[in-house]
Amino acid sequence: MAIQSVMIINKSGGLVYNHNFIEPKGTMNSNDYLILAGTLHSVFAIASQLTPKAVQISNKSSQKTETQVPYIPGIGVSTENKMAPLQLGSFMGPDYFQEPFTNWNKSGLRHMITDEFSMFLFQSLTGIKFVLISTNNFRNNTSVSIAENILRKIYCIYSDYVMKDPFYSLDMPIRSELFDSNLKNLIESL
Amino acid sequence: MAEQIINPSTTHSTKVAGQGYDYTIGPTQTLPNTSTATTSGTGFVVPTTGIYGQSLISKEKQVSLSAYAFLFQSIVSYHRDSSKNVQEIERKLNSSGYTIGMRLTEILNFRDSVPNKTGLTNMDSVAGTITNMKRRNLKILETLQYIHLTVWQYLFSRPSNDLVKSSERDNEYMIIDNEPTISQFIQHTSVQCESFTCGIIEGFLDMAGFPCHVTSHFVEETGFSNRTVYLIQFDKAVVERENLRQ
Repeated sequence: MAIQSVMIINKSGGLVYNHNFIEPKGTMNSNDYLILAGTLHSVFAIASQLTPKAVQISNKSSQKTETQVPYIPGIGVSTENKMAPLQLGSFMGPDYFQEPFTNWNKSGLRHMITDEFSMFLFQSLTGIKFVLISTNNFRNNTSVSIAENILRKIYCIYSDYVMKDPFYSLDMPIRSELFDSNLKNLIESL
Repeated sequence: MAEQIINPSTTHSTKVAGQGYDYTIGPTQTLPNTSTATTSGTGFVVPTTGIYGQSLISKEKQVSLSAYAFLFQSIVSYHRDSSKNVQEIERKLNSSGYTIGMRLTEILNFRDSVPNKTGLTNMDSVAGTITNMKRRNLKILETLQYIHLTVWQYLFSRPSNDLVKSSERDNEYMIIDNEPTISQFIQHTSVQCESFTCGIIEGFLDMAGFPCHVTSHFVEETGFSNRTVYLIQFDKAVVERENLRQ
């Protein structure tokens, strides 16, 4: 899966982080990115309002499988040298997490697939949105699960290198070389 | 119970000691809760809970790195908010570390003196098993080796990466850590968060009789972006004493 860019949107809809791994075709200035982030945030909110009440209720009670994302091993973790101890910040063990997890994004926009690209959204419990834009356009469930696994790993890196930095103030743009390099390592090892 | 508190006579039945302030009794002495203490055969009251109940010989204890990182983050931001300039933040971090280092000199030496640690359970008396205390290190190099290996092992579960003597000045030594544990999540700024570790080293050396000044510096190397050098500058008297001893 070729990752084009990663964005992080704070809980009030402001863009706090953006990194393009593949340069987009059109030119976009920083203002355009801010508008894009704000639009996504609004569309997300509108989508959650559009979700029929019946679906929301049935999601809560019976269809637990809908919000459970399976763990897919071997994403972003080099499996070649198992002997070397992996440095995963404060995460112990061979991977950031090894269990299926709940997607907190229950009623909002989760993914969007077009002919040109596909976009995946992951929302943390506190309302921070992680957006992943990929150049692929697979339409199966596995690719969605893979994307959500990647996004949760980005969230893990965020919780280490952004939230544990005493010089970062909440909801402000992220300017951390440590976060940058760790994110780059994760994306490159895919 | 020998330690029953005698309360002034009141119409109320006696309350358990240490259960909060009772205005009908007035200020009472707070003693460890007697109900949790058990009387051992020798007649001593051995508290089973709290810090006094713990053995001085600790088992391998692990602390959550995440929780520690958040605590350290709060310490740094607290000092940042209450300080006027960078030097003040670093000085405050240094003095928090200093108090840890001071205590390490005694306890690590004590723990090293205990023969066969494995046979001891938590409640055994440790002092009785010590036949003779370990001699303290008197030479600069021995003490620094001790920090490089034992102290680092105690603090970060691994020895530090290198111990170097300065080629220019004979009172300067350097301890090098490629990936400092406590500041691994912190982005480089003008504030040296490793001042905390500097304080630990400084406190340890001061208590060991080697007054010194410790500063930390980032010296980046390929693969280790957080590589930190702790520069230890001993007082002149320490070096003079060292020369006399030889």
